[in-house]
Amino acid sequence: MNLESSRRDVCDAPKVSSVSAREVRAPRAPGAGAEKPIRKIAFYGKGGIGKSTTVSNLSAALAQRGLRVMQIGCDPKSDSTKTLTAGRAVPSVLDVLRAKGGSRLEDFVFEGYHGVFCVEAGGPQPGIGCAGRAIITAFNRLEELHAYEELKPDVVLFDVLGDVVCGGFAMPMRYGYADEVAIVSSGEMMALYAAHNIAQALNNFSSRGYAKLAGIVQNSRNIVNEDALVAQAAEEIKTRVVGIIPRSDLVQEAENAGKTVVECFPDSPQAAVYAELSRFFHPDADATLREAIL
Amino acid sequence: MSYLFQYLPPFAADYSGVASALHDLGGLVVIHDASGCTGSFTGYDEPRWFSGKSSVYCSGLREFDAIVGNDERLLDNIRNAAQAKDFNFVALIGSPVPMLVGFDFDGFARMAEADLGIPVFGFPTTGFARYEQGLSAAFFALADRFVEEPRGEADGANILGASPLDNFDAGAVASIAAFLERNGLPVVSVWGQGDEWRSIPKAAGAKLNVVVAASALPFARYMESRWNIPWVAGLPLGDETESALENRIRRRPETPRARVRRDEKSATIFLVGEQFRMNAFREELLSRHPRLEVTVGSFFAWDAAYAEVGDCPLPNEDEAIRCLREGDFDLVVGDPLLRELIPDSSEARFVEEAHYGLSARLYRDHVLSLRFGSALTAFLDGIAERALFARASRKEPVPA
Repeated sequence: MNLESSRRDVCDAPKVSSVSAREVRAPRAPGAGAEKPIRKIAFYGKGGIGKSTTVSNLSAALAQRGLRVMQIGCDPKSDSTKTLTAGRAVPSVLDVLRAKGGSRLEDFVFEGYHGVFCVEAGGPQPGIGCAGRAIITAFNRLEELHAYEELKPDVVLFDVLGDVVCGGFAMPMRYGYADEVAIVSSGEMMALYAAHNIAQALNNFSSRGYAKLAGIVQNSRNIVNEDALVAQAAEEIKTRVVGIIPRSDLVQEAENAGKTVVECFPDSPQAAVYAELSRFFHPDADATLREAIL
Repeated sequence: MSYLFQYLPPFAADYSGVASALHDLGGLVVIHDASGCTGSFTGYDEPRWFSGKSSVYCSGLREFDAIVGNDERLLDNIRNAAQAKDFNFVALIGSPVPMLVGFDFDGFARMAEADLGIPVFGFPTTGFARYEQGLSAAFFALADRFVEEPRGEADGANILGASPLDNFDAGAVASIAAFLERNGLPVVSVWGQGDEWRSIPKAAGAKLNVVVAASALPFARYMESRWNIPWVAGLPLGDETESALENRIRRRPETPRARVRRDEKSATIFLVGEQFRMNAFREELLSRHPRLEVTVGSFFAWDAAYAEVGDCPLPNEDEAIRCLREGDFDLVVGDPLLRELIPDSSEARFVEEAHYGLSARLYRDHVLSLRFGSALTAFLDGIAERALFARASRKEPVPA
């Protein structure tokens, strides 16, 4: 048995479909919180720290709780939602705009695992154009098409490339987009340095009505004294560690199968960690629950 | 290639629409650009710039500012300028460069307002949209921020959309106001021009909105949904249009226009310009010369509910040229620059009717205000006469 077929045995390929206009406009179930505000969280952190892995597993865990979840990847590589869409790349907003000029929601919103609405902002080819501007354009297009009103998500997770390097990459934390920012960091120095920068940017923008810092999600790399280092950094930037994700080989194994751990190994301790983290990012998580988790 | 304009210059852009709508309201208006857009507004687009008083500044955006942000420098400059007098508000208006670098107008406005202690608006205009979208954005922003909830019984009317960029001047507004007064509707506020800053907050107390240009229709619908103010649309230029608007105000049935068989039509006319203004010309023309066939077209705000069969929204030059070719009109009335669009094969004669939103100050010596009374009659009779003459002079017979 080769490796590929072995993985298929472990995780059957989920179906990925574009969101049709009819599905988009389908009424919500009674009592499903039609009037509830959407909880919108932007995830930032040093490049390569595991943001997409964390966010995708979180999306999957939130969707398993029965929520309508939307994940928006903000990276020209357009690979944020790959593990929610059976490892397949979906056309990004920029791809569609580039090819067609005009566009409809169903051209770039795809239902992945457990109905998670997957969107990739996309961007220019490496070495040309402006990636920050691409995010702005993609967000504007989503707004023009009334994406939130049509899809009615309970939670929107923005998976943002790296640090707050320019106006475009600050877009998800601006007023009207994410209300909260979560920083994904390990205990490594450069990751914590990036966390400081992101917190500093939020602090600088506090008078502009930008998102508030929700906390740090520790994506562990098994370095010495890691929990203490991250906790200390959180204290220095006046926030808290909202979850600690241990390092696990299952993450890589699931990704190789084009899936999240939550989908691929639902009974694993690692999946339980993401499930626990999803309690904090649940729209109904009130202050008491959030404090209890800490 | 439909966005490529080969014959016409850039129209007045969205930033000019915003700045024009705020011109008379005592605010500090800052266009965030390197000075080209500010120059377009002050030097070309805004007819009142050389005669009125308005505080419009250029932010002096430079390459380095675009790279590093420099929001603090911009705030410092606004703070210094704001000390010159008591401004009612500050408006920071966007242009192409801030759009490209993702300047956060809303966030900056929040920060500046906390700093300055007076209302600050940020308008993320881009220079790629047309002036009527800027007018609309300004109306919505003013309404959301300054219009107070109504108290007491509703009375009077608001005039919506009287922008100088659509050739409304103070005299035109006075004529419309006089018409409304005669119909028992004192004017509460004017949106598009007017120095009555104090009247803006009272707008929700009006019992009717009168929409005089298509650009203000979205705003009228918004006021209806938010404050339950009904609206009527139309431009009262002469007896016919006054009578029609009066019927709408009094909710009386409108008098249908007498139908004329196509083979009895005497000549065809294409009116190109602001939709409501051209509709008003058509009504007045047909009341005097019912055998004319009149078609309306516009590059600007357009509402299908106010169009007749055959009327042409003109999203680009190609469409305008197609309408002109297929319409085979005897006479075209429009901005002088449109003459370039008439195909060589056409026998159409042309009457110049300059439009500020299209050719700005290029034709400032032409009549640019609206015509009422005897001036309107003379103008329309002249059009009819030219159209009939053009028909009679045709070398090629008119197709059946």
